[in-house]
Amino acid sequence: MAFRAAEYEAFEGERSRMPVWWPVLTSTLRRGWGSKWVRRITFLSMASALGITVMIYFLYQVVPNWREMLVEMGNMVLPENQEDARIDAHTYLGLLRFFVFPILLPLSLVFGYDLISADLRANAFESYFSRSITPAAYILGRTLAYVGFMLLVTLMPMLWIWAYDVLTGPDEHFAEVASVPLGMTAAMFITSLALALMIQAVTAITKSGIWTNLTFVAIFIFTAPVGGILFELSGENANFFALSILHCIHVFTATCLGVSDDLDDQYADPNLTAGVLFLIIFLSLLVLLQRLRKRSLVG
Amino acid sequence: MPPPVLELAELTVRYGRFTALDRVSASFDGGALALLGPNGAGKSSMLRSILGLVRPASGVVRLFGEDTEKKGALMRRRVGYMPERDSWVPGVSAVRGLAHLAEICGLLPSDAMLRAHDTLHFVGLGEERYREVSSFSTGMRQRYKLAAALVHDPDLLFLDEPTNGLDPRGRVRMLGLIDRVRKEHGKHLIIASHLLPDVEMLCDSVWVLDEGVMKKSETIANLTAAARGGQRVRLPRDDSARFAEAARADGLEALPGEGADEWVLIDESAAIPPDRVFRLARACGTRVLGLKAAARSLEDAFLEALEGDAD
Repeated sequence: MAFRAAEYEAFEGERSRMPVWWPVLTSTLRRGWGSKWVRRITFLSMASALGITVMIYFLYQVVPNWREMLVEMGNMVLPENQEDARIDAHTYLGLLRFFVFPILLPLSLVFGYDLISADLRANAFESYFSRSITPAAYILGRTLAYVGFMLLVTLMPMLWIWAYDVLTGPDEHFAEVASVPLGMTAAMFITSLALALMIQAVTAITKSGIWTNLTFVAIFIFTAPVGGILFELSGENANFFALSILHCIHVFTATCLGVSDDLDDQYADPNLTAGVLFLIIFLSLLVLLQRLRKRSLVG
Repeated sequence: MPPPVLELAELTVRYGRFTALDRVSASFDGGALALLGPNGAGKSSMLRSILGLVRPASGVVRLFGEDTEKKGALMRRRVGYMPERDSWVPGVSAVRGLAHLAEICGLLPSDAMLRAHDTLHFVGLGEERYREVSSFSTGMRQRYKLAAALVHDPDLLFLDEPTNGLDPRGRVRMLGLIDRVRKEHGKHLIIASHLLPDVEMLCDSVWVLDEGVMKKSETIANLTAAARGGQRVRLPRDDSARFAEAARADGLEALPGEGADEWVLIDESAAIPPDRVFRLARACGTRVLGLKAAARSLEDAFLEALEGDAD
């Protein structure tokens, strides 16, 4: 390739046909991956999934009939409820807690903080919106990237474990976990979308990365005990648990996996929890659109 | 005949109850235009409403003949904006951030990266292009903003206080870059600035704004030259003082010019015809060595435009 001296000159090349939100998405992914905490949390999530599959592998090597043993042990411990010891959709619902609480929430905070507060500090909106991008396209690109990262740390490891479980299990085991890929994808997509839009909407109001994170933490930490207190005060009306977003995520995922009928009376109504998540999405969009109309700050 | 580069029709911008721009109508056919006005005059609001960063309460903005309300996103591909406040893409290197901004304007990723490198070289940040902008000095950030405005090769550049915060050397360098952009690359410029010498150096015409109202739209040449009909007269040094006395006796105001042999004659009520100057010289027994219309400084013209309306 011939040497080409760098100099400003008129651009006569071809224009891209990609939608304008695409560069925002790719840039957001690049920026997100640039954060060491995002990388650490993602690796932690992947390593956890890998660890579980390695554990299953060694179990097979040491105890080839470990699945049957698990059911028998369950019969001994919980004789009237032996289904709990099986590896089925319930197991994946339990596994969800492992990925949502310690991984999804810190990631959404770290990613959100890095992304949003840095944009605010660097006054990046002025650079973006003076160009040929609409605020709606900007929000779309950023939200998709956000959702993509969250699915990467929740859905991907879960599907990895599921694939290994199905491949190594007996033929009839597939029927027990068949609802997992689709159900988990739907549940995690809606959950990630709700979180991604909520953090942006909260930022549009607080206009600060720190206040956004504090609000987010407050929402997650305080709503659970408040739900519990109201449950007791109301004569055990479990619908008050729907105040907690984590509770809503759990019940909504159970619904998507088709196991919500097995939830006891300590859980809120599945329709209500789904309603809460969709309400979060709707209200967040409303806040963002209202800010977009002003075009002052889109969070 | 091509449409005007920029056309404003009854443009009004409001922030709550405060009216930042009040039914401003004007047209810019190309070249270099300065937006002048005191703080809070509405310069930045005008720029921001043209760029779609602020939604006008009423009125129409046309860029290259197209209504920005309908085709704003598309038209902004042809526009580059250098904001007054620092603005960059955080978390990535200067060159990566610039390439990203170019991609948003529709360049292919490979072209965008190439242009980002070239543009940073052009503004003198070639060596620093892999650093994050947050680590740049004030002067470097100003040059980065110019590069960001240029990276997608726009036809029209909006520069909001481009020399803000620069030391004298940095200011000269920035003005040189802007001048090159205009003269060598044929870009149209609209510059909002308080610094009148910068404006005088770069621009052909001005829009003077005050309290959201357009006070004057004029070329700098017309604004500064002979507006009061004054004459700049050069005479033999020995006769100079005598000539000034005779002019004052004739009802003119005689102000010292650039040297001891030069006077600026002003008549507050009317323009001074050249033959009146020659008659005065003959009456003093001297001769006129030089005569030209007395130009005012842009500052005088600017202040007069603001005061004129106040009267």
